[in-house]
Amino acid sequence: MLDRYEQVLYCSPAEFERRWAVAREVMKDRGVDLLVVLEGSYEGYSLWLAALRDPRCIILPAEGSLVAVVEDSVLRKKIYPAHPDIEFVGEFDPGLLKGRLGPGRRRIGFVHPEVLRADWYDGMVEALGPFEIVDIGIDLDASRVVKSEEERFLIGESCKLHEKLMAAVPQIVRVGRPVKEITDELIYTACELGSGGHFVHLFLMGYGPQDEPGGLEMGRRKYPGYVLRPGDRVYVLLETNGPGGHYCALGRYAVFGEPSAEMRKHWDMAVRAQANAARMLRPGVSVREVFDLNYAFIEGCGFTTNHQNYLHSLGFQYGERPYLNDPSETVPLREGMFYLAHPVIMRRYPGFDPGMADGVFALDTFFVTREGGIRTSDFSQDLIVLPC
Amino acid sequence: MDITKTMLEVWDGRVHSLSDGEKARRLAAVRKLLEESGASALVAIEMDKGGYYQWLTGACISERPSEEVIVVPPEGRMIMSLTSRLFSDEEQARYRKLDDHKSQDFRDDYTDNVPALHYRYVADHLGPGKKAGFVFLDAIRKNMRDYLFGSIPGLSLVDLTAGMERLKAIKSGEEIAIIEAVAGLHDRLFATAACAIRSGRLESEVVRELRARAYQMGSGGEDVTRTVVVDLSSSPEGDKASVEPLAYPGRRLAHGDRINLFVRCIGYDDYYGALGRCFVIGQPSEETRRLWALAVGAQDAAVGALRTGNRIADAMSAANAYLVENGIEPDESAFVYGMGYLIGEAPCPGTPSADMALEAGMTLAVAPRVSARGMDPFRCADLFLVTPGGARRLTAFPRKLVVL
Repeated sequence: MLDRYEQVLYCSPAEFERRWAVAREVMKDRGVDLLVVLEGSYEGYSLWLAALRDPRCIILPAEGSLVAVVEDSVLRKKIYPAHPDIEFVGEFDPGLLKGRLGPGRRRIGFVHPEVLRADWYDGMVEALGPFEIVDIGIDLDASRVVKSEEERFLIGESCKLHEKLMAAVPQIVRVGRPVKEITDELIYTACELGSGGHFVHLFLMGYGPQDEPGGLEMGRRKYPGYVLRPGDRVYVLLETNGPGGHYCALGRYAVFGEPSAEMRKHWDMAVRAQANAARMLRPGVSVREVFDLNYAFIEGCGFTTNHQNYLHSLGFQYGERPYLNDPSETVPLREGMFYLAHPVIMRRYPGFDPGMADGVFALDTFFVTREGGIRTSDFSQDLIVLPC
Repeated sequence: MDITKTMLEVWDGRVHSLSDGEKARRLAAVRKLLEESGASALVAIEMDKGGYYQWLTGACISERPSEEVIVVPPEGRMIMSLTSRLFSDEEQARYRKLDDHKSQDFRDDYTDNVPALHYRYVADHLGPGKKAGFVFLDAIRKNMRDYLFGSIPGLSLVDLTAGMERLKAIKSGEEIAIIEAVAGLHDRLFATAACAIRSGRLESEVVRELRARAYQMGSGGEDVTRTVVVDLSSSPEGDKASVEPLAYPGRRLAHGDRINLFVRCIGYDDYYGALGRCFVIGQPSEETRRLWALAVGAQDAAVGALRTGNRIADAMSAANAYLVENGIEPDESAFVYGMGYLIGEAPCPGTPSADMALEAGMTLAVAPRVSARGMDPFRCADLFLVTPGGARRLTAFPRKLVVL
């Protein structure tokens, strides 16, 4: 347990050593002598490298201990290093880098160099003399997204959590309940099943009468939010972590009463489009290529789509690169990468403003294999039909 | 506060009620500070650090430290960059205007959302002195510093953090009313704690239930560990504390246990509250009663020193003097600190704001710990408002040992 009662994190010492070796291989390929990860909490680098979410900076030398720079307040608390070769310090000291760079070495690999503080940079120049900043974020992402056996096991556990939660939808998602109340119960149930310690990313969207537009928009509503009614559809989006900290995703529409023909038509197309995208999740193909081919497929079926980032990886965060609409989108996929796919089928509504449209999508996760993406869940891909 | 008249953020399920008048008040205060400092635009960065994101926009916090930079010009609408990007003139000329109202990034009607910072948002407002104010200037990123200095000849930056921290620390009547409601949320949460804390339950089950109950009352957000911050420990009455780390599934409560519960929960409008008490399942010993009374006494001693013009160090010293007089080790932790959009806002020990003079309208957590013989500490924690006549407790839960 973390802090006595938070989510259980599991990561074996051997797994850490594997990850550090992966990172060092990338460093070697890019000819850098040291890796500095900035803002590693957001995209899961900190958990991946050090099993701690808090570090402001992680320093991985070519050899020797990994250094995690944490806030003093974190250092004052009890920290249980997940591996004896993780060293925690309370302050970023450029001397830390100097001692870990070999003589004459001046190439430093960064993840998120754009957020390097000016005072840290100045201190580094003073301590190291001139040095070269090399952004190796995408290269590292392309390697860490290939999951190990241990990670695949934990992803499987996370996947089971999502299936259980989705199976509970008929009990939790009921007519007469406000969406806030339902979301809170989904979050609580997910935590009971082992989610937590980070973002518990679960919510309802696209709610309202099934043949009327709207519901996908964000923003504020009068408290307590929309109250579900007979005839409504509601999208249940589950994209949280499981015991061990790995994120997974599952999304389905629930409909109160009989789904309309239009609802079924768009949902069925969403499932077909997802299957088509998944079929192409093979080593050597990029997510941009998958998107472009799937775009043509959807249009060829007489539907339209949008440009949303519907192909991204997951790890210790629910959105990891390589992904669409990012410089990483052309990185070739590798066997064993873990991906989410949810192509969006745009839906317009007769009798309403033709400019108004929203999207219908099926959300599942896949492992990249030579035979194409293998779905990690066997949860039904039908609409969830609920009694009113 | 009438929750039925508030707004619910669809994205994160949090409750918002802040009036346009309050936001206008804050903006006017910032502009006055700018005028006094000779700066003509304010740039706020490091949104996860000071709570300025919420304070300036009335919205909930962003998830990524480097995201969002807010520029407050001397007049007109604020500009909020939604990313850490810095646009060249060419990129600025061709970007697509965001439709604020259809975006999850919608904040308010005082702010224009933009996809990246462009130097003209600052440069266009600079007076002859070319002086721009910064919040947390020490944390400015290298690329932003290079970009601004490279694009704006003669630019000088002035650190307005101290002035901004003071503005934020002194709460208005509207803010105090919201914080009182947040204190009430904590009172109600502790009223239900007796339902959650039962023999046979795991500590983790209790924590999860308390978080869920807080959400039912209007708390919310994806990150339950930061929206409802719970410190819970348990051990047999009079016995030593459990040795951590605890293996899964954690400790199970039993008859005869003492449970220490300290909750700091986001309530309404992203404001945090604080409440801490001890619960005993069964009958507490005389020693436990004595130590709890000392925890209350230490809090009283600290609160007695929460007078305008004093510092938080005065309050902590008073509490520690009381503990030492009663044969207890002083509490070396930071147990008096500002509360608002963050746990540990200004004035806060261990930060540059620690020496800020107390003023009426500041809200503070006072949570001294009584540690004895290796036992889990006793902590009496409450939320207080500094007034001209001394500190007033905003949480109302009885300061008694709770016997279950």
